[in-house]
This record gives sequence, C-alpha cells and structure tokens, in this order.
Amino acid sequence: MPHLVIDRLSADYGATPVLQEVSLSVERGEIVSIIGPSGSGKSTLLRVLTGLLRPRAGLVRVADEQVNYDSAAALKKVRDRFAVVFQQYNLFQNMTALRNVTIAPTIVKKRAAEQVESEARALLEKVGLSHRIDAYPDELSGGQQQRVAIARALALKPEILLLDEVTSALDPELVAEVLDTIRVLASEGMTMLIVSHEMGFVREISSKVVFMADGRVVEVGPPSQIFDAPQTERCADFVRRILRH
Amino acid sequence: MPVSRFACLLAACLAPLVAMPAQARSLDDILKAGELRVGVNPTLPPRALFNDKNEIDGFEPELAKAVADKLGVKLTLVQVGSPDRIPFVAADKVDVVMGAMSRTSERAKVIDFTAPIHSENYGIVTTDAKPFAKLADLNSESVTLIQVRGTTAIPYIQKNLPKAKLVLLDNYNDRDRALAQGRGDASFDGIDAVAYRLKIFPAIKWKIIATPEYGVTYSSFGVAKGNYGLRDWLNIALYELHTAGTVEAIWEKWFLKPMDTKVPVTPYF
Amino acid sequence: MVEPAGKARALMSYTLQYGQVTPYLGYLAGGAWLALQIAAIAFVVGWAIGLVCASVLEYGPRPARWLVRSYVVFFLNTPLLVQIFFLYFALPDWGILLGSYEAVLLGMALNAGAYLTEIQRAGFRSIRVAEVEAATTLGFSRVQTIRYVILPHICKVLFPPLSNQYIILTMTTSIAAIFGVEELTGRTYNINAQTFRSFEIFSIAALYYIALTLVASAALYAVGRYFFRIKGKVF
Ligand SMILES: Nc1ncnc2c1ncn2[C@@H]1O[C@H](COP(=O)(O)OP(=O)(O)OP(=O)(O)O)[C@@H](O)[C@H]1O
Ligand SMILES: [Mg+2]
Repeated sequence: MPHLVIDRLSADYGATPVLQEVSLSVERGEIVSIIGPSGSGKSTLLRVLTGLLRPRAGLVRVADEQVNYDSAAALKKVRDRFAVVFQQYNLFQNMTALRNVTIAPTIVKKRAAEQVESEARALLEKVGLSHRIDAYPDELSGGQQQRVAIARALALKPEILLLDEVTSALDPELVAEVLDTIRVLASEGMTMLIVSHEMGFVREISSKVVFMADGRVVEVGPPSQIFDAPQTERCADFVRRILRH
Repeated sequence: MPVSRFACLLAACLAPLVAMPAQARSLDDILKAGELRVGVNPTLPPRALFNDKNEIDGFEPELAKAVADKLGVKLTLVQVGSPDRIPFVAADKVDVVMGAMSRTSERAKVIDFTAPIHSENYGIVTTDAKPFAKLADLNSESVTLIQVRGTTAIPYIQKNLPKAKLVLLDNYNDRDRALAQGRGDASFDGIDAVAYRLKIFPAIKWKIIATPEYGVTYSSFGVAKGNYGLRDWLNIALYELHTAGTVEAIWEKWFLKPMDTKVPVTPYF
Repeated sequence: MVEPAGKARALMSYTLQYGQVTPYLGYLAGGAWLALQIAAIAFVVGWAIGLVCASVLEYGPRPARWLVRSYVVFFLNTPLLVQIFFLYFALPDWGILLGSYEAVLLGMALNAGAYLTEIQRAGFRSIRVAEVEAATTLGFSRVQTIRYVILPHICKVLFPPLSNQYIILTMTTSIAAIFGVEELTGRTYNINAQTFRSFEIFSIAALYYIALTLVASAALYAVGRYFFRIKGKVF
C-alpha cells in the first residue's frame, strides 16, 4: 500500500488552472523527485499538499486515509502529516536556530519544553549545526539556514517531508552540505517528495522521477528511464536541454 | 543615530565659546565706513513695519534716518527679532539696536542705553463688557491675561498680579486676535500703538484704560556694552532731535496721536 | 578722561556671564520636563492614530481608505505651524475654543499621526509572506502567527524609524512656545527678554535639548538592542 497517493488533483490560481489532474504515488520510505520546466506547477503541487492552496478537485490519501482540506480543523491534521521546506529560506528571523526548531512543538503541540529542546538539539546535530544553535538566521549562511529549516520541519515528526528546490538559492559550494543532510534522512527511511533541479542528485537518490509540464504529469519512471531513455518528446527535450548545461 | 543633528546642537551651544562676539565698531569706525547699521523689528507696527513696497518703514526707521543724516553717513536697516536683538549687537552685525528697547536695570547690565527716545505708556486693553477699572482689578483667579512673550510688563504682572492666569503669545497680532476671540479677559501692555492696531477689528467694542499707577517706561537706542563714544554722540543727537520737535513729529505721523507722556529733555546726560 | 585706546576697545566686546542666568536653571528644567511630556504624549497618540490609519490603508474598505489618504496627504503637505495655528486661531470662529496646551498637543499628535501612518504602513508592507506561510505549514494558528512572527518582525522593522520620529518630535515641541505653552523654548525667550543674556541662556537651552534627545536616544538604543537585536549606534 503506497504511503502517499495523489489522485487526479486539480488546482487553480483564480481562474487560471495550474494543476490539471495530477496523479502520482509514493511508497513508504521512498524518495520521489519532481522535475519540469519553470511554471509547470511543481511548487503548486506541494502547496496544495500542505494546505496552503485549496484543491479544486481530486483526492489525496496518506496511508490509505483520505486527507481533508476543507476546514481549519482538518488542516491541523494535514500539518501533522506533511512538513515542507521551501526554496527561499523562511526561517523566523527573530528567533535563534534552536528557537526556530522548538517553537512549533512547543506552541502548536504544547509539548514539554525540556523534551522538545533536547530533541531539537539532536536534530540540529543531525543537520550538522550543533555549534550554531544560538545563532540568528541573519548570522547563518544560506546552506546553514536551509539545514535549520529542515530540522524545523522534522521537529514535528511528519510522516512525509516535502522539499521544494531547497538548494536552488544557494551558492554552489553550499549545495553539497544540504544534499548530504537529505541523504542522511533518506538512509533513515523518511518518505520524501522532492522538487529539484540538481539532476545528478535526483538520479542518485530517487527511486522514481516525475516529469511535469503545464500543470500535468507528463512522464513517470525510474531515473534511468527519465534521464537516459525518456518516452515522451517533452521530457526528452527538457532532459536534453538541462543536461547540456 | 542622529549624528548630524547632534553635531548641530553641539555647535550651536559651543558657538558663543569659540567664536566669541566680535568687537563693536567705535564712532570713528562708523565714520570711516560711512555707514550706520541699525537693527529694527518690522513685526511691531507702527514702530517698524514693511510698507506697500515691501521696504522697512515706520517710526524707528525714520528716526534712524534722521540720526544717520546728522552723522553724515549712509543708513543700513537690519531686520532683528525680539530674541536675537542682543546677539546682533554683540556679534557686531549692527551698531545700534532699536525694536522697542525698553530700558530696565536688568537689561542695562548687558547693553548700554542712550537717553530716552520716547515714553512707553501702559494700560489695560480689554472689551466693553469687562468691569476692570484699574490694575488691581486684574489680580484675580478668574482673569486670564494675554501678553506677548518677552515684553516688559510680564515681570510686573508676575510680581503684582500673581493671581491672574497668564498666556504668553508670540506677537501682537496673535494677542489681538486671541483677545478678540475671547481667549482671555484683558492685556496689560503698552497702549501707544493700540489706536493703530485695533482698527482691524471694527466689530469689537474695545476699551482702553490708562494705568498711571504703573508709571511710564522709556525706550532708547541700545549700543554694545562700553561703546561710550557712540552712546555719547547719540545722546547729543537725540537732544537736538527732541528740542527741534523732530522726534515728536515722526511719532505723531506713525502713531496717529501725540506721545501720551512727553520725554523730559535736559542738556545733561 | 584719557584711556589707552587698546583698553577702551577691549571693553566694547560682550563678556559671557553664566553666573547671571544660573538662578533660572530650575525654571528651565521645568520647561524641559514639559517638552518631554508634550513629545511623549504626542508620540503615543500619533502612534495609535498611525496604527489605525495604516491598518485602514492596507486592509480597510475603499471609502475609509480614501478618508485616511486625505488626512495623511493634508498633514504631510502643510507645515505643522500652520496646522496648530488653524486649531488655535481658526477653530474658535466655528465655536471650538481649544486651550494652548490642547491645541499644540492635538496639532502635534495629528501631524505625527500622518508621519507614523506612512512609517507603520511600510512596516506592514515588510511582512515576509514566506515566514507567514512557514508558520502556517507548521500549524500555527492565526493568533500565534501574529504573536510570534508578524508582531516581532514589525516591531523590529519599525523600531529605528519610530525612534527617529520621537527625537524629531522632541525638537518640534519648541513650536509650542508660539501658542503660549511655557515649555523650554518659551521659558528661554522669557528669560532672554528679561536679562538680555542671549548667548548664555540659549546655549543652556541647547544643552537641555541635547540632554532630552541624548537620554531618549540612549534609552531607545538599549531597548532596541535588548528586544530587537538592533545593532545601531547612539550617535
Ligand atoms: N500566487 C500566484 N498567483 C497566480 N499565479 C501563480 C501564483 N503562483 C504561481 N502561479 C502560476 O502558477 C503556475 C505554476 O507555478 P509554480 O510556482 O507551481 O511553478 P513551478 O513548477 O514551481 O516553477 P519553478 O520551477 O519556476 O519554481 C505558473 O504559471 C505561475 O505563474
Ligand atoms: Mg517552484
């Protein structure tokens, strides 16, 4: 039974359709990557999954339970299941790294402060930042900020982690440290849906790659198929262009 | 934070310490320069004002011209305000300062005064409806006096009419308007100019009560402390202008009436 | 009497006599206290006006926005002196007689309100959508998002311009003297007229103003540093 099933999901921005009958599934502990040209709806898909944008039609199932996006109470449950890290570092600027990680468990989950803090320290250690826990975001590099953001997302113990181009705003030399962190999570069996332009990384880490264009899923297959033997003209085109760089 | 503002303020308060007021020009310096610089305050009509041609005119400028003519030099009028009159003299921007220079022993510690130019006659400016007849009637909690900030009657009011509420405004226009609007009950001040000033409020029934119990004060030319040569010459020039009737004639032209109290003129100073 | 020329001339320059004005130091300090009071009240009231108006401009209905816009444009584009003059001398013609203190405070608060509307609007504009979305996806309620993310951010962004506005307001209080409020400048003028010791009395007044702004700057600096991690300088 797949961990996450997305079934003919559609969403609009105003009158503009942005997602059109998107379907895909992710097994427990699997890593699925989404690639596609700019504006193809990758980010929008993740926004719909986390409840930032209401879907027009379609279903989402997590562990065979349908996700309900209709009410504030239902959305609370959505946020237990999914955690997301976006491309732009969106850490809370007025809080230290540690506070960024502890705040949601403390105020949303109302958990005991000491326990939350020791877990947060462990998470920051895992992303390699145990020495910077008292730093504020503006005192951290972009790569460090993204790693704190990942730790913050993990602090709520989500079932599924969504990563949206978490390295694309980083200087090249900072990309590797963030990818290493994701590899660690992968080795621990975290189910992940990753949007990325790092094709080498996508190929290495994903068991399945989804190619999207114009708000639709155009092709799905293992990395070897998508990168070496794409079945559709659009996907072949995209891969050819992106690998040339 | 506000670097420049702080620097400005500091400069403003240190200025008198570093750029110490310049030497005043002596009578000889003035004759050599061929110019007499006189400070007047054109916000005090008819004493001094801006006329239709936007030139400074009035009682004081005309008298200053007569003085400069006697000295045989050109007259330059410099506009001064009430609070900056003394810095103008001390910094040698003017040789002589006018602008309602009422003599007081306190002020005479700082600047030298000549013999009197004219008398200053005081009274209560109020409206018909008010019952006041003498100064003592103003000494009551229910009376609000409207005065112009920095004028000579204020210390007297604070000392002798302590019960009255005191509102100090910026200039005589504001005082007249405030009285007309009923913001206060009366004003105790010089009444030489009221005939000239209150014409613009024809709807108000003004009442002017002379207050001989206060006495008169005298207004003079001011010169830099210790500039005796200039002061002594001005005294003699004034004596001649008084005895020739020139001062009185210029006064009547601008104040629209004779001086209430004649200035006693003696050949001794 | 014959005097050496050099000596006679030396007597003709002004001699500073601070001893002549020391009896008035307490009287002037009272004026400084009043200036502080006016600045503080005008600031707090103006800040509240600005908060309401900025909210209306950002989130309010169109007619309300239009109304607030006119208020702000009017007060930003006319001199404060004229505004207070209007409140003090023109309103009585319509039957509203404000006292000196009331007219000055109202004028300064309305004027500051217009400036503080613009400043606080910039604060609202600076809210980072990404941070708010992050809070949402972490499950923060709306109130929690405002309390933990939006307000701290706005306070931090607004703190420096608000502090500056307060300092400016302190200087502006000197305008009150024109309308019969006996604050620092008014009292300085009073003593100046009485003693003619202009240099001495105005330099002391300047020192009082420096003290007022310096103390405020230092206090604001400490608050900004402690609460908002603002690493500005006092001077
Ligand atoms: N807030 C919005 N309002 C209106 N349209 C939007 C909004 N955000 C995105 N869109 C549009 O929706 C479409 C999909 O955008 P989306 O951000 O999902 O693309 P993407 O695949 O993530 O692209 P990229 O690779 O550039 O991040 C685009 O055409 C975009 O212009
Ligand atoms: Mg995107």
